[in-house]
Amino acid sequence: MKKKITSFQISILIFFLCLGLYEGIANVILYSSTKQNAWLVILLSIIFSFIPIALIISIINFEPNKNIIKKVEILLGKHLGNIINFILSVCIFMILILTCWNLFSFINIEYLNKTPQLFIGILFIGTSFYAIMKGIDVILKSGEIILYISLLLITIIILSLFGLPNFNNLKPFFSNSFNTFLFESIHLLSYTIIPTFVITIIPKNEINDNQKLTKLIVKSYIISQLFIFLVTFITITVLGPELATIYQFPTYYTVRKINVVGVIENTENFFSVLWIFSMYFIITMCLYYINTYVKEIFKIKTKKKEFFLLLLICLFTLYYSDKIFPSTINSINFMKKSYNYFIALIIFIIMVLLGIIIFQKGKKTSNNNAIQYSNNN
Amino acid sequence: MKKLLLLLISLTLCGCWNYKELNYLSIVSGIALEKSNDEYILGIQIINTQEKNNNFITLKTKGKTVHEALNNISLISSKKVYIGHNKLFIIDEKIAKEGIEQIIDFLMREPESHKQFQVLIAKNKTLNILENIPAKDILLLLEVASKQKGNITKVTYDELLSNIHKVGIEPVIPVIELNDTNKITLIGMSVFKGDKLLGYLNYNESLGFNLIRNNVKKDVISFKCDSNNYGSFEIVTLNTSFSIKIVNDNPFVNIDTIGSLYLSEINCDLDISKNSERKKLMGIINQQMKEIIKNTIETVKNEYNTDIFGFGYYLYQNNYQYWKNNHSNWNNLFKNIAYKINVDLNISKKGSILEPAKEG
Repeated sequence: MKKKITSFQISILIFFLCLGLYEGIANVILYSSTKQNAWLVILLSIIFSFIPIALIISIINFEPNKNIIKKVEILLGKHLGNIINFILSVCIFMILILTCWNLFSFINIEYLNKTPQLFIGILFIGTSFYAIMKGIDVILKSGEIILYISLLLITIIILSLFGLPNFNNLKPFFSNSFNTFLFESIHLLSYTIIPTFVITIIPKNEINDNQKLTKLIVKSYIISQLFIFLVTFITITVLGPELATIYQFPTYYTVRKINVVGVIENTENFFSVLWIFSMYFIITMCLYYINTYVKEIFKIKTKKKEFFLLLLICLFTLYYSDKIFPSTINSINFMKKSYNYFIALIIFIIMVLLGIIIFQKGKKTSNNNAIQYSNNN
Repeated sequence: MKKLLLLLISLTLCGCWNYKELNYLSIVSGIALEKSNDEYILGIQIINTQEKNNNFITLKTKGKTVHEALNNISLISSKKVYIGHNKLFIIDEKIAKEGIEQIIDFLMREPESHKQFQVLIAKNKTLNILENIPAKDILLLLEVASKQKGNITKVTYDELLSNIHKVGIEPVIPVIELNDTNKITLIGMSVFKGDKLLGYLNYNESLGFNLIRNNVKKDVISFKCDSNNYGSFEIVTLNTSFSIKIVNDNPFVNIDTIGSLYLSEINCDLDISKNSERKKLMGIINQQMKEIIKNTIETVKNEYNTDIFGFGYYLYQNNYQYWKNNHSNWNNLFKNIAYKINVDLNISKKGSILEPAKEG
């Protein structure tokens, strides 16, 4: 049965998923290695992003009535499919843990520094738990509502920034080698595009107007990348590359500088809200992915069993998100050195593998159709 | 189940964890830091809302680090120190000479602290300043002086930090002094190399520095209009920019100052309605401005050899290849840097009289 999901809601979800891991993780690495040229790296990454986007779209379009877990089984067979599904779920779980850790530590550092991270976690995981129990349509509907709030906040922030940017901060251009640009743009994609792989858990046929989906997905990716570009551009021109490199959450401190005749102040909280929404969607979708995977494995059908299963997953996430990194230094080091190889690269390789098989299957089908057509004639 | 969940949520997520009653907070309005032997002596000015006349109190503690000293406040005050509203940070000359990087680290890390507060260097009696003068008065003085006087520029904490980390530019901080009658005076700008204080610029040098950095909004400057008498003018608009060319592999700075002024006082026999006399007067004024800028550059080059003007930063931004090849030798290049100053100020107003009021 089709749920009340629209392609527009999926594109909103992609927008939020792309932003989530940018602040506090991707931008920290980006500024430290490319400084004032970070905005150029993003422009380059937009070009490269078409490869993973094409792969995600091809996976979504294959067997439109099934989710990624079943698609993997169809494409790779039962045994290899199970292994790959397990690996994917572990990677998604790692993204979930990292996102949770990043979000909880942000709130802990900037707002509730006396509150244990675990309790901050309960706030978000609890909300995600509730949304998942209500179903994917509720998650996506909340995304649609949040988008309008976010757009209002973004407009206020951008208008308030008038007069603050110093475009000299962008100079010197191209002071990094081309290899650095190339490496960092790929690096950036691993934080902004790879997490969006989780949308493949939603079967295409569950979307009402799915004929528009491909177009909207591409548009959404481009808009989110351009938004990241805008955020980076503003951060460098307002804060300067030196301070952008020092802070863990540079955009937050950029927006903190806004003071419009003492009337519009503390707009950093607007930014926090926007960013927290993004992180919330990554957390919710990752939990949804893992929940669906475990449900498939244990063949869980009843709502009651799903409730306890999801509760268990949430508790597990809460525990690990609190314990995984002893400090921020460890988390940044992990994101710098290990995330790309242990999580992003694995997901990307699996995406490529699935993409190739889908392409070959498509070719075979079209060949068969052509033979059948010629035989008929 | 739902009721249990609701109860759990209302008990755990009511947002009271970080709750602090305002009565139990010491809201810091200013911080001052001195050093004695190996220990920092920290002074914090706290807003005292209960007293009408004496609306602040100053607490002092010691510690090996700034944070330790701040935490030691708990030994003398029952209230929790809150530095989120701090607007002023005064650093003692002795600490600045040793290097300020160690002390700025804490305030940078501390999430409670807004990074937009003003920084000052105190030449003497650093803690006494906070003990005697409310931080808001110091800030007001700084605000007025930076708008009315050309020798003072406000420097916020994040600007300072940014300049410490930038290449080809060194930080400057305004200087405050407490005299014997417990009155404060802002006396100009201090010169740094990296995070270490090297010395001070006098009134005219501070003005020259601010002219080059295009920080002067307004000032009244006197000039000798004949052998015995002085006149003065007020800056109406002023815009200074500099560009650097590479001549024979050496940087050459071109400084252009244009603007308009208000002739506020002439105590000599000059008829400014005459073109020739006005030209002569403008020649004197422009020459004086040139001298101010020139003397500043010479002092900074020869006495301190630190690029507070940002000539190196200009090259880093606009001629990266040259900067890349020469940044290790920048101290030498700066010491011998050649420059040309062009000043073009014009009279836009001359007051309400046509001729000098002085009897001829």
